[in-house]
Amino acid sequence: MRVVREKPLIWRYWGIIAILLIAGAGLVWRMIYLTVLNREFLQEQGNARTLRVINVPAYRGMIRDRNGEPLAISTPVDAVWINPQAFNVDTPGVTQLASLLELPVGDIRQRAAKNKTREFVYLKRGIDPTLGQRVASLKIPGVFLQREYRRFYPEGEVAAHLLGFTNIDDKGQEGLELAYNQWLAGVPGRKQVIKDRLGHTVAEVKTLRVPHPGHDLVLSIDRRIQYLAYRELKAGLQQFQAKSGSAIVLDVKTGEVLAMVNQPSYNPNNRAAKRDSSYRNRAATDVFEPGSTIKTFSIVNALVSGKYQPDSKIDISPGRMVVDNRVVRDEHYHGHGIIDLSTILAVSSNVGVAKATLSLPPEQFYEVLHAVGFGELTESNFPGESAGVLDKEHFWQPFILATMSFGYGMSATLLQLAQAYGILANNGVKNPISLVRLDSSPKSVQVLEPLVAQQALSMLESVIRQGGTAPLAKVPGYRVTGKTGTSRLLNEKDGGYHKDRHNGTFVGIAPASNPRLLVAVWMHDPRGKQYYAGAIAAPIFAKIMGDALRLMNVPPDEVGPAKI
Amino acid sequence: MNAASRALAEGSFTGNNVRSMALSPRNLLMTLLILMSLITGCAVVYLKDMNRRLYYELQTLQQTRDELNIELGQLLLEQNTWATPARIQQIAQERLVMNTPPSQAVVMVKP
Repeated sequence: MRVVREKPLIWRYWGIIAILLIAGAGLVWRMIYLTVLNREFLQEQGNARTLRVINVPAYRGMIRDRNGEPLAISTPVDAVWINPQAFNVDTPGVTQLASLLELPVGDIRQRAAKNKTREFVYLKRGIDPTLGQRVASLKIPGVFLQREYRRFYPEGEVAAHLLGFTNIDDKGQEGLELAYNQWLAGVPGRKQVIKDRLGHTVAEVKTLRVPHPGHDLVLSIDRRIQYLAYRELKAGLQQFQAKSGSAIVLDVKTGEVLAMVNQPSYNPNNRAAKRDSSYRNRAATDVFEPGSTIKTFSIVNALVSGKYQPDSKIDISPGRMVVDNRVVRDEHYHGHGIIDLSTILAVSSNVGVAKATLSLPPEQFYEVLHAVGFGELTESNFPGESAGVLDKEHFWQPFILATMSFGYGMSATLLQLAQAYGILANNGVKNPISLVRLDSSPKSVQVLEPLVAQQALSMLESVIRQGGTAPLAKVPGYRVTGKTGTSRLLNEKDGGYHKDRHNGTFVGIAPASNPRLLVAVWMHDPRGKQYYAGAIAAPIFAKIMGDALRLMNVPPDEVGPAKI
Repeated sequence: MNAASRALAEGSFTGNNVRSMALSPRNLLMTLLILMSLITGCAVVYLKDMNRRLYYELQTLQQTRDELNIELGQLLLEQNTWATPARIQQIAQERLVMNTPPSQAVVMVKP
């Protein structure tokens, strides 16, 4: 019995062992099958269910004024796009979509039909996000929203030329938006993440592109001064019926531009498709023959030479002189006779400055003009800025040299004029022109002797007094110094000058006892009765300067008897 | 696990009783290690889960931050549109009838 009973036991024992081994081998095979042979396929399937690439948006930085007030802000809007392959114009709701987007249904139909083979066609860009929500709630197949950014300019036309604008893709196109595009623009990032069943991002796998948010740009502009300069310029332009005009307010201690305005202007928030001349920042891009404003530097040249002192006398009668068989004459001969340099500036005598300049080496005059920045770009970095024309060759031709001494035969921008006068106001120290706020002291260079700069500046004070060319430039409470410039417009047809078309400029500095601000005003082609700079540019100067000094809390330096 | 099962198997084949097995220092160490590996295993699972939850929370907060930044931008835009100098001037002159005093009316007080 025992033997008989043992035999089946041994058989069962080995049977179970075999089954277990087979089952084990099966499991091992399955393991190899999944993890070695099919690894790639399964990994891919797994990733396809959990791995996602998401975009990290980057914002374009704000542009702020010197006090931190925003001048340009990007804010999100929606773009509506369709996938023509999934979109059917006859879907109910398309008429509603059309009315929301203010597009005719025919237009949408046409656009979908024309781009049948594509998968991405914009319907409308830059729409309000709340409108975008309503479009999304229509749930039309094949219609999608895309987040994008639009730039807004709260100051509108007041700072339009300076700031410039961005295109529909929020890239800088003009002005400072273009100049500082790299700094302002953000770089959108991409990263690979794991998402769970509910769509929550639970882990970051790797960064495909590191996002860089845009930086804020802080300008040297003060929006209040910018506004008041624009207001006064616009009013003046209308009053004197000028074709265009520009004004610059400069802090002479630092070289920072506090305001830069032009007329005519445009609204950067609502631009016409076509760009015309109103888009130019004339203060930096347009050159003109500065006329009498250059006389100050002719006098500086005379003082630099050491041959002349402020009280040196020159005989300007009979109001004209012959140079190289051509005549240089004073616009208005007032019968002054023998007068000193200050009076020459005060009455703006062409003959006086020409005589002084012709008696000195021509090269020195070039060097003085070059040292104060004529003929080369300022360091403002403004795109499209002009360098003006200052041709060294011309200085050896006596007649051209004579005309250059009163501002013809060369050209400059208003910004260059402002910079040059800023040097006089800053004791002969040249600060680079800056459109961004400086946080440390500027890299300045001494280009003129302090004594010469001070002498020239105090001589200019006589311009504002009664009997000078610009008594209208007076600012109550402050001592003002400055110079007018009325020049004829070049006639492009015959190369001569228009008899009745002018540029009127005034560059002034206050307070004269300790110069702080400089205001330069340029009125181009005034068509009214008045065209002398002293009558059209000086009053605009006085208004801008008066308000700007008050806003900057500059204490008055010409106080009458105290009445308390 | 293999070591543990071998230990159990060896124990039963050599005929040692359970009591002596539990007391032997070698087996005690083994039991401890088993327990430790179980605990650390659970800890890994727990921490991984916590990591994912926190990462999700971070994402949500970042999104909130972005939304708040956008709102800030819009509010700044609105504030600045209301506060444009042109509008302030208009309200000051028309509604509040304010004007700049003429220079004769200004008295300078020197400190």
